[in-house]
Amino acid sequence: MKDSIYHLGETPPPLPKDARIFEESGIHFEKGVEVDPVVKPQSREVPEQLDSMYVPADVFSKITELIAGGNNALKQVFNDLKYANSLKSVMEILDQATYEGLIHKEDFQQYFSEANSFNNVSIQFLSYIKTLIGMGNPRLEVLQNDEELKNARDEKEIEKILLKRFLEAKITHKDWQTLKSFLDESHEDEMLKEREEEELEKVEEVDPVFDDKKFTMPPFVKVDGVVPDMPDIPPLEQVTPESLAEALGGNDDTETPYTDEFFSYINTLVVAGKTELKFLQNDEELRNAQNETEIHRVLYSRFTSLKLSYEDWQTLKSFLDESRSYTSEQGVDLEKMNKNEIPDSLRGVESGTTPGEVPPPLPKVESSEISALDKELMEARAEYASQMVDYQNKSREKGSKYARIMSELGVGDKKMPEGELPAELVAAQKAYTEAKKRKYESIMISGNEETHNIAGRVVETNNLDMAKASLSEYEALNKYTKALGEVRAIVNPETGETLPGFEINPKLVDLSEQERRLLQSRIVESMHPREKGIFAKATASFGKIFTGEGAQNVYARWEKLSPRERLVVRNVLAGLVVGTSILTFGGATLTGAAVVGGARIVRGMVGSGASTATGLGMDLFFEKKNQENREKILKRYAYNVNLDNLEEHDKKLAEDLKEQDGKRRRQILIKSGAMIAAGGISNLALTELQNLSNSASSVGVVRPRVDSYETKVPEGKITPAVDNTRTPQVGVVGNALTKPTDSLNVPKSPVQVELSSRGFIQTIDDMKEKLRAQYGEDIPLKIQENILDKSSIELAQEFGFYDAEHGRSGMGFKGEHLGVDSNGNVIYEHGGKKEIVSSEQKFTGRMMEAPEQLHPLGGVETAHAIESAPDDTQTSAPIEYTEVTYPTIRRPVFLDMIKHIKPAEIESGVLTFQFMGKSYDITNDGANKVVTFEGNKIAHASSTGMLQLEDKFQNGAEYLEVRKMYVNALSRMEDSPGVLTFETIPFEGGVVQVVWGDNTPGGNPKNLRVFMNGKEIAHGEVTVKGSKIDLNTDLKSGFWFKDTVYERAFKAVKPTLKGLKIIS
Amino acid sequence: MNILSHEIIQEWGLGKLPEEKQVELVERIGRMIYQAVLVRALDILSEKEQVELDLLLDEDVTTPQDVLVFLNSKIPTFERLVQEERISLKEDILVPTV
Repeated sequence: MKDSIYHLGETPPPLPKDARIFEESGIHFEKGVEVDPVVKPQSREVPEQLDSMYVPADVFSKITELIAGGNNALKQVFNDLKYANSLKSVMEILDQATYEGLIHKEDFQQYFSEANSFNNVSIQFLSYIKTLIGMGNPRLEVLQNDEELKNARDEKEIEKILLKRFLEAKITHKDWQTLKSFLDESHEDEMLKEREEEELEKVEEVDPVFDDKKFTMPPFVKVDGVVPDMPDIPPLEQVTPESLAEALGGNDDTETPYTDEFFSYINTLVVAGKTELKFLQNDEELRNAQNETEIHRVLYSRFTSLKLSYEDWQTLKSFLDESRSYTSEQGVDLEKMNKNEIPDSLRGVESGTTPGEVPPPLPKVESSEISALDKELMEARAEYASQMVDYQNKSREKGSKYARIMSELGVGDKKMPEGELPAELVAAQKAYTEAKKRKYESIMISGNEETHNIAGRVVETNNLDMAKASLSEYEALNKYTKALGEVRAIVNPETGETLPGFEINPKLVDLSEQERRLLQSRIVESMHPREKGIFAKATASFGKIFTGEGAQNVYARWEKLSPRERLVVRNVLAGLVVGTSILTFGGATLTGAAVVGGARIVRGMVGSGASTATGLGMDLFFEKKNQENREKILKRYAYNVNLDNLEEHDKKLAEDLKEQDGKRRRQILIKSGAMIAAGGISNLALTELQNLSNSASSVGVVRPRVDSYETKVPEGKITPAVDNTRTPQVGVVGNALTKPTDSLNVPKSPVQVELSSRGFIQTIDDMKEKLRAQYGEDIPLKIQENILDKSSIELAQEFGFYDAEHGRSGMGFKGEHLGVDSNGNVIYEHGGKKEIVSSEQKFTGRMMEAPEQLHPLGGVETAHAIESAPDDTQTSAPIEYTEVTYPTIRRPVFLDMIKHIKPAEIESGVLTFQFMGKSYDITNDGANKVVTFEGNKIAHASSTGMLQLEDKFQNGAEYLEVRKMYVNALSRMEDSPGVLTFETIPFEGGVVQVVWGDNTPGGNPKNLRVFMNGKEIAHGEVTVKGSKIDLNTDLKSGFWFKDTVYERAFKAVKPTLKGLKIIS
Repeated sequence: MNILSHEIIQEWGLGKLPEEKQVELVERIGRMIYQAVLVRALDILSEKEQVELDLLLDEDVTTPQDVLVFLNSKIPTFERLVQEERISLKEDILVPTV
């Protein structure tokens, strides 16, 4: 007799009558069983293999060792162990062998002691997993070598591990449920088995027939060492429905013959180990099925309700299909049925329908089945909503507490860090998603979304399982499966990009809307009234875009929107639908604002604590210390707090606060003492301290160093109107050489503006604006010619406010004015005097060096950089400002000249340059200058003066060389005055430049622009508050999923733009 | 006139639908994501921030974009949150082209 193990698909020989079968999991049927009840002892012959996963290695070693040592009687034990299907069985066999004197218990003492403490649940469970994998569920392979699972001690532990794996998305919800139910059933079976064994032990002989209730073989029982006879049934391979039915005690007369056959087949499968089909044996609906179609319908229903796996559904379906073709003429074809007794899936053969076969009619999904899914979904939704609400409530409660504590710490409105979601919530969410998916799919099927071919087979469907079931071509199935995995869009979690091959399904949009409404209504219901109100308002704001609710006439309404309105809508949707570019930029803008806001907060905090110079100093000292302490506490409590440990942290925090409070009290005492001691401090020193405070509190970092006001203003030049405690705004002008003008001769100044803290150019800008506002269309010619037709920069230079050559700018004071009379004369009013300034009568006041980085025009605005200190900072503490570090300033790259070449040379003719072994030309083509390469124009001088790469070369790897050549040509260009390029970033072979200023007539000096290879792609302004710049709308992708080259370029310079502001 | 760009049509698989339907669906998609984001974001905002948002919404000129910018400024993980909702919706409403 063959002494080896049969493998998948291999037909085992008939079972001998005295074969002993321990059948619980069906694992032996999967592997095939070779039975060798009696092995003749052969001297010193060691068995080749003991292929039972239940026999521990040490037992095996010991047995083989003993056999090899001559104890041939152990061959019987060895054979018995082959059929052990549990550790318990192993123990029974060893016990029996001990009882028979074949082995000494001491030899296996270690095993016995270990086995007693070892729970074999995990082994059985792994065996079940293996069975499922063998039956065509490769998803579970991940569990096969799961060490944690292998080491699980009990069912509870296994359940926990399974939940974990489900949450880790290693197993699907369905698999999770299947495995869980196995555990439950195992537990029940175990109890049942124990009861049966107890009963069986009471009888002398046992007739091990099939239990028609359980359809499982009873456990093997030995009585007094006598091997009982096997039931009088044919070997498995010869089992027919009739024989099984006979063995099972006949059929219900009420069942149709067809159903009988089908049930017999189910029984066979159950006996063969597919215990998960047991439920079908008691399925009333199935039993009452009158024909094949009804059976199909019931099976499909069980499949869609997840009671039946896809593989089992297919197995049963194929039985029906095959039976149909034979039963009509010959009744049940036994051979065919035998073939089906061990289905392909059990043999490890990939299931699939045979190409060209006639498909069964598609089952119609009845409303009752949809209702079952509805119920499932409703429950899942309710559970998820409940978990979510519960989590939110807890989170809110603890969050409020956290915020209160943080507030007490003096750090204002602080949110509790987001923590991990509870496992229950995540599981509920996942279950809800799965239920939702099943529901959607069922509706899609019932909605006849499939396309059928001429044979009636589904060739197009939105349901993967349906597709699998119906696609006739294996190749197509393979392709389909490969492409999808599951019927869900495959989305890149990083980018949100959907893989190709998916399309929107309007019906699913309907369903999704409805589902989301149901879920949200449950969650919103539980919200705080304030949150409810916000939700309602925010939702309404979305509806307002389209001036009405409902989606029926969206397109019509959209068409009516103005381009501007449409742009808003597009942006909103783009922000939501396509990406977050808008949000990101919005965030950057807000960040800038927040910086300013933050400074105010700091100022307020510090200012409120500083009342006297000494107090201020002490406060500063202590404030710093306190701040450090606070930061330490915050670090401790802000970064490691979550919902779970809040309580614990709360206590510790309270202790720290108490300690901190004690320190503060001590500080107050010290401070008081210091103030008393400093009672003799001179007023001068106090003033100096205040001045220090004031000057430091001026906005900006870089500003001219000026001496005290008193030392610079000539005596008698200051009018009483000038507050001598004021902070110099524009430096010192008391010694101005500006010739005073007789106020009587000064014409009326119809338009007057106060000097701007941002400088003379800004003041001139303001003045122009005021002129336009005042005169409208009727601007006097002189004003038009003298003022409005000239750029502010030109005027600043003309009037002497700005010396471009030396990079110096004039200084003035807050409260002084610049005006224009009706003749276009510019009047500078300062210190109670009014002076006309013109190209002949220039401003002759104090000039100062303009830090280069402050303004592209040499510092005119800088001249006005010293803003008077706000009132609330008169006594405030010095404020620490963060200095914005600008990149190294580079001269702008303009095409006015070519380096090292006299302008005249370029005025006519062509210059040729070499680059990477190739040559390109720069040509002066009349007013234009162009760069050509191999006869093609690759760049030209644009209206902005920049050398601009032709658009078609801006993007694409194929033009990389052209862009590099462009950069090379650009490097030969000389700069133009009037603008500063303070950032040049290499970008995809070319360059992106951030340019500040504007050299075009009337151009705004605050202009901030971004050029990509000379093409202006973004523009905005930079002010003392920050920068605001946006990508040019015509270059925005709007709804684009992927960024355009311009968007990429813009993003590349965002770090530079972010936080950029004029420091005056 | 093409209101929607080629990319958005491709991104959301709208290509086979008439233009009117495309626009309608895009608005509904936007609305769904917007609402989902709101539900999640409100829970993250502090009370003070909620009050700020409430005040912002009281302004007639406040647009959904303003709301999003506000939320983005308050919630560090906001972009991720929006992304998750987009993915979630895609998984719900996109089906494979066979």
